[in-house]
Amino acid sequence: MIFCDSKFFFSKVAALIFCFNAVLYAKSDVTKINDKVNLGSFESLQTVNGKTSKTQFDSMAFVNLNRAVRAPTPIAIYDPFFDTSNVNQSSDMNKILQVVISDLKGTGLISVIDKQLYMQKISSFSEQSVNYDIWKSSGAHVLVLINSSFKDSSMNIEIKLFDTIAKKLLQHISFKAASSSNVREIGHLIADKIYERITGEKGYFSAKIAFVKEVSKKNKQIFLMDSDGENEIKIVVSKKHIFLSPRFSPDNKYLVYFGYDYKYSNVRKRNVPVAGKVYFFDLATKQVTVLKEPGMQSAPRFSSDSSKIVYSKSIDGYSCICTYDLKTKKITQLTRAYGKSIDTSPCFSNDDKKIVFNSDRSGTQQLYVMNADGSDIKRISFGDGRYATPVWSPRGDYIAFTRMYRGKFYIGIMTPNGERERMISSGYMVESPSWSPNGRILTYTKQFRYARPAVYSVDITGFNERLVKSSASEPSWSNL
Amino acid sequence: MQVFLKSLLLQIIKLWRFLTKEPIGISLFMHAMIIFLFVSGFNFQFSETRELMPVESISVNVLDVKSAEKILGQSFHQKRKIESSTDIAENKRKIQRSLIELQKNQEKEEKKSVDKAFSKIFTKMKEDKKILEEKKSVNKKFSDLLKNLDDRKTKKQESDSKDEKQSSKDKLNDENEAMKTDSSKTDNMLSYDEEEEIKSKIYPNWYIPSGIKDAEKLYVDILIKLRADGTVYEIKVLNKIEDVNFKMAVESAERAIYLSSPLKFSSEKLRNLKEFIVRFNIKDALL
Repeated sequence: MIFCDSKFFFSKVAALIFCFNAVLYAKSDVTKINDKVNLGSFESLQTVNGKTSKTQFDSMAFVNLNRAVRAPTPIAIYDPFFDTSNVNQSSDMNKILQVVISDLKGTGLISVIDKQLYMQKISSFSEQSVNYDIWKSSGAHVLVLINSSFKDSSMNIEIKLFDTIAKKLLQHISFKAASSSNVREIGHLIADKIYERITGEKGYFSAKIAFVKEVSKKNKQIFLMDSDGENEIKIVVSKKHIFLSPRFSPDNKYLVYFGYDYKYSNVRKRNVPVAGKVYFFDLATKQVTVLKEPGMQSAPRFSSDSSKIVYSKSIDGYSCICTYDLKTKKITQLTRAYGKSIDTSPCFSNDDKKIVFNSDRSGTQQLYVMNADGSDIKRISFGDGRYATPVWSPRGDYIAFTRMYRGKFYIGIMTPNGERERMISSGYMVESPSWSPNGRILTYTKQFRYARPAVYSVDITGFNERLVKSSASEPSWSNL
Repeated sequence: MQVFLKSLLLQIIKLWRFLTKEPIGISLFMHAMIIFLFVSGFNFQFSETRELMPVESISVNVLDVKSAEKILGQSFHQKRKIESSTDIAENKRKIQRSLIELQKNQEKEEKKSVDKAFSKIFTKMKEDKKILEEKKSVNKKFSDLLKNLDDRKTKKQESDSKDEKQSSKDKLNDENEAMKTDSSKTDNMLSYDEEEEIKSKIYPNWYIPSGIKDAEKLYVDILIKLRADGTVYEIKVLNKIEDVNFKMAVESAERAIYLSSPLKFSSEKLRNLKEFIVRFNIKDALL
């Protein structure tokens, strides 16, 4: 009878809800107080490359430092120690030192202090002779000592790096340079070691760059040069061909490129380039082989294990992505043409599991990623304008590309899933980016209006853009 | 007549077939339709509709003829006679004058509206400033309240301990110890200004290793121990990971600490600080 009375029933329910809420509120108040009390304690988990660390501390003042100086690390490189009896060695060591300093300065991550600021004369290649306080006051964070000696027709090089602020020896490196290697090569090797120890990344100075030398509009030849643009060597020269897109195999055995033959056209009454072919150049034997296949092949690139090349093949007005196995000599077509779309500029990922390419299947030129067998094609670029020439970073963390938007060219990078897109260089014409072997530097072709193209390099952060080689285009890094 | 109609119908059918089947016919038909649409006055509105400016309401007083005569001092009939007697040239001048006056009035109104808009912006600015000041005062009050709360807590705990003293001496000692730890926790909590002061001492010496792989995930927690004069005498890395990039981050952080030693602070609380933890947050610093 009591529950039948609706008024009584609802009042009862309301009272129950009120009580429940009151209990909840009280509980929340208690938790709030507990939080306040426990503010001093701290616990955090960090995972880097699958490795985790746990930080736990109690009742401690805590500061989250979220600001820093973005400047190159200042270092001092003392004059190398060597056998004074050998006159030739002194001049060689000076040249080596110059190469080392120019290499390290060019990175934009390391600055070498001027010699005039060196306050201490170091007598020997030992830790005892270094006065840390003096070097700290001169502004150097790291002091580098180099020692060289000849043994059995090879040069023994020792490098010692000292932390002048923490007052400790960072590392003692020693290696042998072959007698055949020239002064510049030794300088690049030393710079590699110093760079690796200071930045934690592999050096790239001893790597080579293949590029197209722009002799004239119809005469383009393939050359090699050092990472700093010096010491150029002829590789492929022909007046009857135009050679483009040279790419190193990751094992540094082959150079793959594509070229057009010139043939006289009775219709146009002049020499006209005909179907481009992919060429393999053996760097050891200097033999050239051609990939014989119907249609035009272009944009070849090696897989990271150097067993395959991926390229674009065009027949009947459309082009698709194909792979060529160097061992089995088998060609497999990976993409089918959607209508008459053009799929081109393919590039393997660093683990050879994926391929990135650009296609106009959606109407505009955009970037796509697919599995190495051609399945699961996904579009990754969604910005305005056109995207082209994607290149996967050797680190695997970024894809570099060329973007054309409102009459201007850009070099940009984005993650393999299309996130964090940012432009790191722009100009009248910038294109064909290529990653340095450590995935830190991008070299590319840059052309100003009414000027010949030149090879430029820029840091992944977008800073330190500099000219590497003038009258050159389409750079490609070798592996270390 | 029937024959004529029949022949007309046949002609129309033929024309229809020609218009529907032959591509030239279809195009002719479409063109004819378009011309018909244009001729019939089909309005194409390409431009977007514009929003009209708001017009302020003007108050108008309606007067009787008699009251108007009272105000003006002369009848409308007399006025009309005078007006008719004046020359056309004078009328023109009057019109010109009235036009000039109208223009002047419009300019004045525009000036007024601009002034109003500016005054509105200034008032908004003032309001924003007031809100900011209020927020600051609220924050200050909140911090004071927190301090008071802490004081009250300690007082309450003291009073409780006094009550419990009578009951048992062992319990009293334990509670006092707990109180001490709690107070040390609250004492070690840094205010925003104190945290900023520590940051300003260290960050100019931190040469961040930018561009390294997984920089977005990296941070280094370092325990810094200070002497009475502010010199750093011990550094301890709290989160250790065997990774090259992490190693570089640690080295840069250690250099930053040693370079900023001795740490001389302005506030007393920081001067009494013997140890604290700094998180060298590469992710945040790179933003």
